Amino acid sequence: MNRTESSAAPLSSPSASNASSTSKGGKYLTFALGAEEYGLQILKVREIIGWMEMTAVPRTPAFVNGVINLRGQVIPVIDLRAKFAMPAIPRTEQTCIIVAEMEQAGRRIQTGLIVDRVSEVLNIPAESIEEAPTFDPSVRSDFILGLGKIGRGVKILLDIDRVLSTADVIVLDGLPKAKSAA
Amino acid sequence: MTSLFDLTEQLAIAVVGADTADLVTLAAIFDHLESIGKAAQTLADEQGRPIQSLASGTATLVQQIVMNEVPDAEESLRRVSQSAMDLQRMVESAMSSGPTPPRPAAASEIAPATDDGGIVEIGCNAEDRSLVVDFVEEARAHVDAAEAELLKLEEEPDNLETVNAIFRSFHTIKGVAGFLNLAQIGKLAHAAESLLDRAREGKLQLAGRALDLVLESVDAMTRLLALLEESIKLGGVMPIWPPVIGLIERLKDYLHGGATRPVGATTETAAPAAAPVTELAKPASGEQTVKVATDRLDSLINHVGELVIAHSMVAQDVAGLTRGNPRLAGNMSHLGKIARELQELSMAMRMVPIAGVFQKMVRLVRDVSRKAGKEIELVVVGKETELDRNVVEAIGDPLIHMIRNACDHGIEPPDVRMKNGKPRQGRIELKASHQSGNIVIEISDDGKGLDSARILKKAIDNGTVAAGQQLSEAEIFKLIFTAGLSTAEKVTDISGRGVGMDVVKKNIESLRGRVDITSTPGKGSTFTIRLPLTLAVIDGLVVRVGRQRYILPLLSVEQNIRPTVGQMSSVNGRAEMCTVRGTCLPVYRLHRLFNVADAATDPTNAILVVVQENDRRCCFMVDELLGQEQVVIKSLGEGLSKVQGINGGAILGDGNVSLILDIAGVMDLALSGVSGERSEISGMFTSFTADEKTAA
Repeated sequence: MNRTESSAAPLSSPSASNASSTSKGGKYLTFALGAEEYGLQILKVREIIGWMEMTAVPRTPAFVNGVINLRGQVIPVIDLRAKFAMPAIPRTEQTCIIVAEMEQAGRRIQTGLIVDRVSEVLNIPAESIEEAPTFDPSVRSDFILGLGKIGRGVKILLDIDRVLSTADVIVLDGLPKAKSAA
Repeated sequence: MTSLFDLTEQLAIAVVGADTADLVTLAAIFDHLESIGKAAQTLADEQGRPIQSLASGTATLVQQIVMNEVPDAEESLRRVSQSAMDLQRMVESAMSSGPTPPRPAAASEIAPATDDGGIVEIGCNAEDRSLVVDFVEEARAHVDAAEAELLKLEEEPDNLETVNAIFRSFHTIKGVAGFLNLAQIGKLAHAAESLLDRAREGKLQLAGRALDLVLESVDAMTRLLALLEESIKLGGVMPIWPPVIGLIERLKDYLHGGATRPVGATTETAAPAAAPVTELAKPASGEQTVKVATDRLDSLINHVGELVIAHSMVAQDVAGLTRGNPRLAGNMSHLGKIARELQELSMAMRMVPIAGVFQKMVRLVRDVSRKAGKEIELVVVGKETELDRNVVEAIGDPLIHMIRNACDHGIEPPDVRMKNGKPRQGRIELKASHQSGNIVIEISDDGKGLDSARILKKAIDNGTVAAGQQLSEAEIFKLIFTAGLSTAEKVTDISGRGVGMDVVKKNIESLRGRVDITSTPGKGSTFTIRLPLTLAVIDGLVVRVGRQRYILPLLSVEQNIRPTVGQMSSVNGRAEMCTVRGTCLPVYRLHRLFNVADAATDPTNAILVVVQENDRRCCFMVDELLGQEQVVIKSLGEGLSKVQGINGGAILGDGNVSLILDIAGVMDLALSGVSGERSEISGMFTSFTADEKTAA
């Protein structure tokens, strides 16, 4: 099963990550998950919306929180905490949903990301961005575009295409396999 | 001669309104310049030559502007407009000096403008791309129109208007193709156009081999357009499609080789023949249309849907206030009416007539019957019936299979028909109509009918059916949808390989439709396809399970019951059943399958919804029925599109999303014995989300 997972990673559009690695510098929307600060390329962010009731979708991975109605369009919402295997916390007033957009095969795909709190938009120059070091195997670093060092702390810059497309791979490939595992 | 003058006039008008970004006008200018160059050939050399060369030079410049090849487009456009004025002056002076004997135009028209270069490979740079994409779509419309006209021509071969229409289609394709440097398409269009031009002048009758050649060109054009579209998608260079070279050669040979059969008196009346062209230049249909990108249309539909929801929410909010305020109540209901009308209108915009698909069938019957040596008449009824664009696109392939089958298996050869006392000519009727919110397409033939004995024997031979099994006639007919079962005695290149009908069934089922067959031996068969009008809307039964709401397609729902203790029974203490009108049906608890908390667990406190799908029946256990609603089906977004048991989502009246259940999928889910526990599904994800269960 674990083999499948590692083979799944290269499936996520390599061209997109190649393109982004050459021009990592730029504006990032930063947000918090617990004490950690993350960053998302501003061009990938469509909008930020407050918490809203979700419709749970059965038989999807735990990090898929459900679907919402975004002005007539149904979009899936992913709990980033669950996605990164971080402990869940109760929802607060600051909990919100970042609607990220990525392009796949000419179609624009929108996905909501639940985060603890949205911080600010930061301009992070390319020279302040470092490659992520290799961690122990329980931490996946292939979602990480780089580490932005600005001001007081480190912002973990996410390669959202990777985060989202891995979700796709899990949902599409995972279900039939789960069946055989049962 | 007046036409040359008129052309410069038109050119001048077009130039005045031109803009460097306005490709349509630029294309028109290019066309005018080309026609001026051509028309100038009729002038004497000393007058015609300068006009020709100026026109062609300016045309090249316009082309460069379009291709973004000039450094300063504005400046180049000014030069174009200067040339246009010069041309007008030159033509005026040429006219005033008196008409000169016209040169024979025919010869020069037949030879392609840039001949003997063979077929040049085509490169498409990025800027051209969107132009090419537009071109492909437009050209397809032209090809379809030409094909329709061609078939009409078969019945009345002397109809000049029809010839003109076909000519114009090819001419337009040629013009734009030349513009975009699409050599293969341009040359083919040119060759076909030359032949059609001859026919238009009355020097050739478009029948027999000439007609076949043009039809072949139509087919080749379709292939080329498909190739072009594909290569544009892949971002590569359009490959050469070799058959087209041969076809162009044959077209040319036909033109040059003694094919010119002057049809009696028409030689004298060459001049009037040109008249219908101008008259026909106006659009054929009186209705004006605007092309809209589908995602824009979808987004409009989404927004109108939201408007309706927003209205109903506001209406609920002000419900208390309206009692004492008739004006507010009146306005609210007026607003609601407008919103609903808007919604209907926007849904109607997705609807297109089925005529285009039926058109293809006319052609198909013509080709297949000729190949099979049969005489078949296709009668088309109700081609104006409208249905959703997606359905129209998807129904084409199944129809082709079925019509082909009717021609090949259904209709007998003429001599056999005569022997059986039937008319020589077979008859296939293709009928579309609306019936209670569905579209019904009927394909009936007066052929030999299905031979149920032989189908059954074949099915037993290849093991689909056990030897002793008793089947009803309807069940036997349904066997022809099984893969690998062909009743054709011999395999032809038309059909009989036993693939096809199973694909037909699959395609139709994917459109949420079904096929029924009736057949009488010796009299013929009728295939009836029932499809939903649109893929976008279904009638749904909204049910509640715990705090979740789900939508069941009403088509699959038979009845709802609140079971008594006596009706319920179980096997091994687990598999539950309910006796409904004497039949034992399995009971599947949705809350268990979908892992929903806080749902009713005692069946006698819950509702059982009896559903059927493809002859399978069962009961779904839900907490409560919330009502019926017509809902718009929406995708759950790319990543969630294939969740088993879920067909999509719908936005309910309160603005929240509810999931639409895929009945067959839920049944499979229940049978596979997997419950909706999330931990099992994300099992492959364990190294990353070790404590996922707690996170959930």
